[in-house]
Amino acid sequence: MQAKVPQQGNVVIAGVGGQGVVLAGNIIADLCLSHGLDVKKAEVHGMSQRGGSVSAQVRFGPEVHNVVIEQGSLQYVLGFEWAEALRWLPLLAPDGLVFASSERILPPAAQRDRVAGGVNYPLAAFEHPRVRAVDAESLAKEAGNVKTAGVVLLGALSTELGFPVAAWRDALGRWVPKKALEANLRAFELGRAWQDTAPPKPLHSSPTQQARFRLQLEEAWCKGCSICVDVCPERIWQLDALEIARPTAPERCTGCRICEKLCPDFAIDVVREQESDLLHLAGGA
Amino acid sequence: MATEVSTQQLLLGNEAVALGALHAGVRVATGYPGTPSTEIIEHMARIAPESVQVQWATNEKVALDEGIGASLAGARVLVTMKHVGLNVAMDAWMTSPLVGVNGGLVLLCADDPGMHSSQNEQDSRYLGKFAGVPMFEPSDSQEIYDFMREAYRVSEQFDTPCLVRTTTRVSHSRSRVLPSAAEAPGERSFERNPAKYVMLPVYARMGRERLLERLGRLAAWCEQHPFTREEMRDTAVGVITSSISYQHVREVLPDASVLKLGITHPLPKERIRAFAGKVDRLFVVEETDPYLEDAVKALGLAVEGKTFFPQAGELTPELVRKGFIAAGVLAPQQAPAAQDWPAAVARPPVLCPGCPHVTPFMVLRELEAYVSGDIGCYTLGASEPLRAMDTCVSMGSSIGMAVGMWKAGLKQHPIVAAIGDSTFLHGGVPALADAVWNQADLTVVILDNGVAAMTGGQPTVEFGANVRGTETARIDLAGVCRALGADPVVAVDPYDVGAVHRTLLAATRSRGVSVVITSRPCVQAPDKLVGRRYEIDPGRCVGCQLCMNTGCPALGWDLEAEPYENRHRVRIDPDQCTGCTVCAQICPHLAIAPASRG
Repeated sequence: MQAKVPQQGNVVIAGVGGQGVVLAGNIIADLCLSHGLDVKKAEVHGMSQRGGSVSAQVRFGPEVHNVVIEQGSLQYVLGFEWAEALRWLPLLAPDGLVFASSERILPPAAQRDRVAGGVNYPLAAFEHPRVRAVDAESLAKEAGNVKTAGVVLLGALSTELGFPVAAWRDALGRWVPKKALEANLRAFELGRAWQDTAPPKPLHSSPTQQARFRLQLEEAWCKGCSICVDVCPERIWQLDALEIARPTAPERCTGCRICEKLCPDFAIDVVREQESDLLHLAGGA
Repeated sequence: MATEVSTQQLLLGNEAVALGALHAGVRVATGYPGTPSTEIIEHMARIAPESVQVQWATNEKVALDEGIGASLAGARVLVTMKHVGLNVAMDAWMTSPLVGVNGGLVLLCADDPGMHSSQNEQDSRYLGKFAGVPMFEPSDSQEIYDFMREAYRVSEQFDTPCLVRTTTRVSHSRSRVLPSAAEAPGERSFERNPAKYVMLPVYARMGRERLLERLGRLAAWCEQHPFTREEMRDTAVGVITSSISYQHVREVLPDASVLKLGITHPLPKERIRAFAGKVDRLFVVEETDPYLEDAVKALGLAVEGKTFFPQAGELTPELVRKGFIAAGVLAPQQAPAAQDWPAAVARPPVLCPGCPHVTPFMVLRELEAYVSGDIGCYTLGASEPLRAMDTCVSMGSSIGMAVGMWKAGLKQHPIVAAIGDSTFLHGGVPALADAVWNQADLTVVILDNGVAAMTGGQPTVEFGANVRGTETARIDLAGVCRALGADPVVAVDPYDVGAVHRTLLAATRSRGVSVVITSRPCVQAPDKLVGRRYEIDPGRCVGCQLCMNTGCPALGWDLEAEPYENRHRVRIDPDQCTGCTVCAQICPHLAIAPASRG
């Protein structure tokens, strides 16, 4: 059954720079405009486009003043990336709906905790009645162009946001490049036909056990060549005033042993703490 | 000039600026890129016929000078910049109203409340008032279009430059625009008139008199202007507002009376007094500073504003609602039931995969140099994991600040100024001359990618093409530095880690002012550059993660592979890798190699 043509509403399109968020917003806004509705759309430009979060907000109705969506009134989220979709949950209206791509793009900032290996990203399974996870990436590949993942989500949205299908197709035709139109129309159909919720599969967020390491230096053998200073990924080693290498933050050591292996004077020992030592440390702290 | 009119379009605020100026018959459009103003000149280059001169200037001061020159020569002219750019142009800006115009001159200044992409949050309305020019504050794309058209008429009618001031939300929102008929302003020619155009003190004093007399006429004019709109509804609460704040107020208090100010300099004092007299309680809702509020108070009226609405950051409907709840105008809302949502992931902007700015910063951190940074993508070199920038203030500041650091006796580590090519040509050149002249010991690293990358890849003087993509003269950066007396001036390929290391080490050890130019095109703009992709041999990777110290977003933990001694191995995202080879050069275990074909 075709849903009714909406008279007012709002949509957020959320993703990462370069995913086509702004374009998808333009398609929806164009669709509203062609149905005689007032529409406003907020975009993010500038610094965020360098790998940061990017979003577009579309509001439509008989008369629209504000361009940004108020907390508690957000109706639809199209998330081109899993965590970017979930970011908008707190703004969702009680009957709001999220179409989230199960594609995950982990930002470098989520992978900083090298000692424990913990990931600052929702890797655990998250299921919620108002979140519909779409494997948009696979469907886009099926449509013949992985870049059409956003249009797959537009297709899924079109089953709820009930503008006539022909109008959706016309709007696509106005905004996507001609040579990619066929793949985009296929992607749109696959999105419309989509049914199975496919949340991203859970991943281990950290290695099973943690180890701690002690850095030992045979001072008499160190000649201050600074190789360890330059190679340590954690930048732990520093030369002191006497040009002797000193570990400045040994708790950051992940035990990769590059310093030990590259020290020309065999002055460095990276010693793995035994379990008993760990207990001792815990007790002593 | 006949341009097709009358169909409703959905335009970005910045596109409406360009269309409004074009339909007003501008013959020259110039500016310097800066978020949130950049798209104006870019859109103008797309929609304007070749007869309209559209160009990027080397900085905002030059842009405004070009604008004044074009105006005096008889053309209607558009000059665009962001708020901090207007500071660069201030010298010309403050004197331009004394000179007046011939063809209409409109300066579009886009403020950035909330500092989405800026180093400060200044409220440029004070600079419109400061210069004493008519100032327009549109609140959506249609108003931008209409206000631009009107600004050109006002500019010529009153013989003054006009300021149109937008904010990020207005510039970067799309809404409906119904254009009106394009006009073809009559030909004006340059008329020699030194008493008006040469600001010798004797003539400037006359210009000052003209300015003050004009301000009197403008004060009367704005009282009657339709852009000052009184919307009387319920009179219990009256709100004076402008720009995007008007839209927030209409949404949050649909029944309140509103005095909507489209012109915020001069202010229609009589209209404000009259409005205040009709309502029980008077508010001002405005973003950033209490520009309107202070002016209303100066009229001796009781008004409330910044007590309830924040002065820092962008206003949102939530904040406006919260303010009116605190003021007792709206009833408190029930807080929504707390939900156990997954925590939001921090995703700050980062340097792109293959960014040529990475290696210079890796090396500068190793050298423990004091790095005086500058404005551009490369300011991200200050954040983890590169963390190789100590200061950054404004466009072109890096070199002058480095000179100051040297003069103050900072000697423990080498002093390095890191500046992009566009920023160097914007404001770095005089500072480099100063460094040589004043005999500082420092190294200037010019991060040369041929474009203004942060704002989307606008060509610089060094790029050899203009905004329309036509080939133009190319400037030789090394030649400029040598001519200014820097020695040595060395170019190095930033993808060659060893060479960058050697070059920077040698340069920082030499006395006097040395320049190192790291030269590689931006991988994102104007074209996306992708070479042969690299991959990590999981058998060799020991998870030391040294490669991830580049900050390259293509490198990440391989969460599907078995960890190596409890450390995540690293994986290269094939969709993001550009094949710059930097990670492969620094991998201590030679685990990174070109991806096997097929």
